[in-house]
Amino acid sequence: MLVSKELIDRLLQKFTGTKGILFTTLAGGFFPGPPYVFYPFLASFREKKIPFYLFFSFVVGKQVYDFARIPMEMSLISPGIALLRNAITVPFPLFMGLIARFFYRDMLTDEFFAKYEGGDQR
Amino acid sequence: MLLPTLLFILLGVLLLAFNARRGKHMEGLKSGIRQLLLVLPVILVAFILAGMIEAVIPEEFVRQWLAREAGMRGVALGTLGGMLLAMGPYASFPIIASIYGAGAGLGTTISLITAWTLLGMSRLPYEMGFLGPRFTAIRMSLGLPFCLAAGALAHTIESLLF
Repeated sequence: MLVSKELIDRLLQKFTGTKGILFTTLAGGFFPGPPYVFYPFLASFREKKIPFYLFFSFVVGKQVYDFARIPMEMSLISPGIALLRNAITVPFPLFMGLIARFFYRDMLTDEFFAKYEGGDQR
Repeated sequence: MLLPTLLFILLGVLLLAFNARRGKHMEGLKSGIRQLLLVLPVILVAFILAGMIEAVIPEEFVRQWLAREAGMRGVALGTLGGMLLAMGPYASFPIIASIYGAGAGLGTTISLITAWTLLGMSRLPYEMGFLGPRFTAIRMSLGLPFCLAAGALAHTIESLLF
């Protein structure tokens, strides 16, 4: 309810570089919904001219942060374990985004999917 | 568990008030109740399964492969386990809790959760279907060392502090 799809769309297109990675990983963490909602939404970005590393950071941010999952993690596993896991993995999406930037600095999302997946195959 | 419960109640009330200002609180409440009804049977079965796992894991196996003494062996096994735990959080988390309860070390437990979040097989069909195998391969190969690093760090913290 807190994050709209339009907001994610704007964020992915507004920022670049390290700041962009930071914002998109956080946006990924706030994005609600299970995989059957998240991945069809992501598929709508396949044809967009946004840096690939930002798209990648958004996906990894959702997987590692997923802030809606923290209460479940705390109550179903243990608050201490959940806090430690989240504290340790906080920088991971940023590092992964930076590594993706190193390898795919100039590649746009639409170029990546056109090159490796043969364009929009949905 | 009392403190987290109170914190969640407080957070829930705050978010309810925040969404009420935007006129979206009923939509949020309905979505939450719908999700609860959907996952309640899964949670029930998962807790029974978790209890059974905790009771059935041999102590010798825990000591050799999962406990703090297992070191990086436990971290590697935790990473593999997290990958293979192809279920949603409602089913996976009680199972992870039972493995921790059976005596698994912090390194094993943290790598188990991290691998479930980063490398979990349950998302693969969606990801490969919508984004393709190349994207999945890049994400998985980048994620693997981070899962091992998370477990190693947790193991180091446990060895130093506890």
